[in-house]
Amino acid sequence: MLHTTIFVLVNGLMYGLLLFLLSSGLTLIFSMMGVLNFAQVSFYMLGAYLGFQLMVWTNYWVALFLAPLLVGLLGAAVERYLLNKVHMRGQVAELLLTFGLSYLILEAVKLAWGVNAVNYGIPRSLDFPIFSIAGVSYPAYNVFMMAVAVAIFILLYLLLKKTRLGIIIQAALGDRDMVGMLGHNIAQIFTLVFGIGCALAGVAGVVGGNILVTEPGMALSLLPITFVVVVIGGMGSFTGALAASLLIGFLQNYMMTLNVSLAGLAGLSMGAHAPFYELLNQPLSQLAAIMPYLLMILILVFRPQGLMGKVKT
Amino acid sequence: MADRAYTRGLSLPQGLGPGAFFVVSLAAAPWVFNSNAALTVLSLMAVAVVFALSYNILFGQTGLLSFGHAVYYGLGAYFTVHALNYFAVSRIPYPVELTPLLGGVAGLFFGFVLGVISVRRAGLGFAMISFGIGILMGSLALILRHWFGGDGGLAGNPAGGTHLFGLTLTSPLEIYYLMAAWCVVCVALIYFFTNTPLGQMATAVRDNSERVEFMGYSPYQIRVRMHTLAGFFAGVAGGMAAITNGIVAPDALGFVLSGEVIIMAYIGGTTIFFGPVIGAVILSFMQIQLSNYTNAWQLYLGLLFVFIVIYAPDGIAGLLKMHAPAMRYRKLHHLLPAYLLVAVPGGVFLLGLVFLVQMGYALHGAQIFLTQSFTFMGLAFDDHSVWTWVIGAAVTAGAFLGARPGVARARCAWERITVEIKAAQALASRADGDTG
Repeated sequence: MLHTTIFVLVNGLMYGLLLFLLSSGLTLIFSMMGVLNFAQVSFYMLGAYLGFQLMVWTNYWVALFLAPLLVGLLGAAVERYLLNKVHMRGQVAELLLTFGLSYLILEAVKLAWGVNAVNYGIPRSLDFPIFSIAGVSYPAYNVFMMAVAVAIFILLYLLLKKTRLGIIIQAALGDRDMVGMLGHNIAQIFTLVFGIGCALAGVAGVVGGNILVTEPGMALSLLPITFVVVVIGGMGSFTGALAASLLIGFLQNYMMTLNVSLAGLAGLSMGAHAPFYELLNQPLSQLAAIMPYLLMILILVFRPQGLMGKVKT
Repeated sequence: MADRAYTRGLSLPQGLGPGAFFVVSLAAAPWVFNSNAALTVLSLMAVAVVFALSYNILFGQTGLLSFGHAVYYGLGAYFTVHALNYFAVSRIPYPVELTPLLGGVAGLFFGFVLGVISVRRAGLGFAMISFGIGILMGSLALILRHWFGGDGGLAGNPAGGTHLFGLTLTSPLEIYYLMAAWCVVCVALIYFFTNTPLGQMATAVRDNSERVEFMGYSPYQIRVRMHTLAGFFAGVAGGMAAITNGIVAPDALGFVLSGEVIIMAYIGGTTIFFGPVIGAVILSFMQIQLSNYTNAWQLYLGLLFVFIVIYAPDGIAGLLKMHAPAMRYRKLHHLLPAYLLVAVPGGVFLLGLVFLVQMGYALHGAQIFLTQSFTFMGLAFDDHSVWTWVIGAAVTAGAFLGARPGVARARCAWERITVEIKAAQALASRADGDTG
């Protein structure tokens, strides 16, 4: 029992923090610009591929700084030359543009690196078990990833609440025109925010791409879960995103350890032809993958603004 | 955001022209494309047309951008296949030709149930929720292996069971005409629906839901009804696909298809009734034909989509419609020189782009297989030489810059004829006033 609890806690924390790393950029862009960036995970994928490429050419630490920078520059260029053009037409047009962009990035990645997974490994300096609990040892790299996630949360918090730039960004969200009148270059600020948001996805890519697999399908496989995190946490809330990421991380890992089915929990025994037989007799570990979506539906029914959301969109 | 074309709806005589053209081309298509493979492609196009129009009930008409519309299509397809298999052995004489209706009922049911949950919010909220529900149902389809048939899917034989009008549904031609008939019925129903009070209220909800609320309507209820209806037609489309393919796999509920229907509707034009029809035909064509020639077809599709999102938000139908007044007032020839100035370098630019992309793929293939030589339009190029790349890139970039004067001139020409058309319209209305 203790083993399972520790397993759930440690793995849940790791997965949850990785989810937060992924959704932090999405939340930043959404809360500051009102843009739901469908291509966020595509930038994450690009970060992973660039990280892999730079690691081949140089080493991991160069990749860790350079790849997010490149992804951030690309993101800023996208905002400056594409997204800007549809901003006046509203959020749906912006979402559609980033949706199209996710197609383009996916194809570009396939064109540059092929359709198979690339061999993006963990840096040798971090490739050792750092501690072991109850006979299971945990790699140092995972702890490093968690540290990066926590650092990003703190940095973002400081950036938005304590720096001059953060205050201008928040003011621009409230009244764009007024801040413009005060002499701040709004267009430039939005480009910067979008670039930072994409760079965050790039960091997630470099750090997470070698824990998960770096392949063209990696973006689409994580996209829905990051959206779920944002919906559950409350659209645009950082603490909400962190809470939702951890919640999903723990719940999903907990469910994976359960071998009973819903029917078993309820003490039902049913014939193979009863309605919903298949669904109710599925072991819960099988249903762990769809748990976040069920959670999302529950949240929507009972708390539509999300865990920490302020406004109902 | 969107223009007012949809709000007014096409009046009956206006819709009659495109409608007649649509029916005639559906009926005549098998004379032109008569191989079995081509007939199957045409059947799938008919399916795509219904699917894209069902999507536009949500997006174009009600303003709900859904990222999970394939759920209703896939469930409709699965219910149809289960119905086919059931009626093939049972004694209930339900004709196979009408099974897409059962798919539609399934779509209607799920469209209602999931709509009640998901349309509480419009805009981005709905986009994310529909996406989550789409992934949920798609994953469930893979988990519930018995009912959904696992990765391989479920097969159903449309040739078994009872039939109407002495059909057997064994030849692609028969299946095509059945699909064409369903397609015409659905298109007509969706078209007439846009002019009903509910259809008009949905457009009002899209444009300004707060005002609708002030008028005493519930935007939520209207959205639920529209979502249910869109689910119904998506289910019919799924059922049609199940009969055409004779098999349905969990992909039918998946995100790829949900994304494709957005692209279809948007490329064609969501603000004009027949827009999604154009988009459905283009995407089906690219998917089925172009994919034989290049593995980069999705890149080209993505480029087209992004171009349309930025420069032509009303889609291809919108671009065509834009030229209608110029044609009516016989001003089209003023545009032609400028268009030619754009078309020549623009064409070179597109060719150059395709050349570079294809060469990139060839280089990649060569890295893997070490044998392929790269040919483009029948000519062999050395894709390993830097010079091929430099010259290709230079020509492409040059053509891009070369198109700029043409674009500027086209803009000038547009400004000129817009003024002229306005003057002509003012003159015509004054003449009307005089006689009346």
